[in-house]
Amino acid sequence: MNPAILLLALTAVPLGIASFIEFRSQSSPRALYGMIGAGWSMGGVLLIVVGVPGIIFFPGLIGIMLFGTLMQLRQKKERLQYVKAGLLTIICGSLAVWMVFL
Amino acid sequence: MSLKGRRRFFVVVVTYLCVFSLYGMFFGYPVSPAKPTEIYDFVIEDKRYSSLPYIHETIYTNGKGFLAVATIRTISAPNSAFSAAFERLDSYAEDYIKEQYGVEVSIEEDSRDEAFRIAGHTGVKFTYSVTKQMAIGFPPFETVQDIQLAELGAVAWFCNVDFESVILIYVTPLYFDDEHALALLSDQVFSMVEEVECH
Repeated sequence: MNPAILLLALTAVPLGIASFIEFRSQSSPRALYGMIGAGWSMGGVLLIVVGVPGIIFFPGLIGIMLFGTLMQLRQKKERLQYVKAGLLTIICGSLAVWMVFL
Repeated sequence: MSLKGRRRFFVVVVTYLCVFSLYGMFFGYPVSPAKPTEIYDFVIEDKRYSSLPYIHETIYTNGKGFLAVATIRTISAPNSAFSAAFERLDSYAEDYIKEQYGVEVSIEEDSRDEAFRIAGHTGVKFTYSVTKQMAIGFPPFETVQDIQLAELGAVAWFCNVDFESVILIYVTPLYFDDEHALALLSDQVFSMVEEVECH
């Protein structure tokens, strides 16, 4: 395998490890969806190599992050989580518009 | 900030530093340059255009025709991104020719194929006609006509097996269509474009 692809797949590992550590200490939805997101990203890189269209993976990752943030918000009403949820919703909405019109 | 908060902040900073370092290494990793399978007797100029992202550029010229191949380290790039870039290529090329050579030409899009099959991938291909207004005949019977001088073409696709995007720009003059030897040079450019491989 091309080492560049391995490097790109590894970019999800630090976030996955950090989420795993957080999940072990406090099983928060944010940590759970962090791990799912890391797995999705790594899988995405490998699936693109075999020909799956790459356009589905980044919006999918943002969607997972948004879902995780909303789940976290249901448990803890933190101001930072509201900001994060707002930003992710804007990114998600922009991506949806971009995917439909481009 | 509490000890727990400080620890969490440290973990977040280290995590994102690792992620950005890995992205840096990915984008800086040398590409395997795309190239045509047959290069005839074209003169080749090979160079690294940029290090981050890594861009390799190869220019093939035969005195009449011109083919530039850029291989760029990218994440998955949709064809719509290439199309959006090529939609601005005509005005950019007009300005470039005017600045570099002081020649006023008009470049207009002739065709576009957003499902162009090349090197086992689906890419986009745009073609443009390069025309110039010229005076034909002698005074007082001269007329000003738009004469097509060349065809400019742009092809791009994403090589998923290497995580590289390949962009080809070619220019082939058309004014010698009736001269077999010169027309052959033009055919060679088209043939090279069709036979470019990802690596």
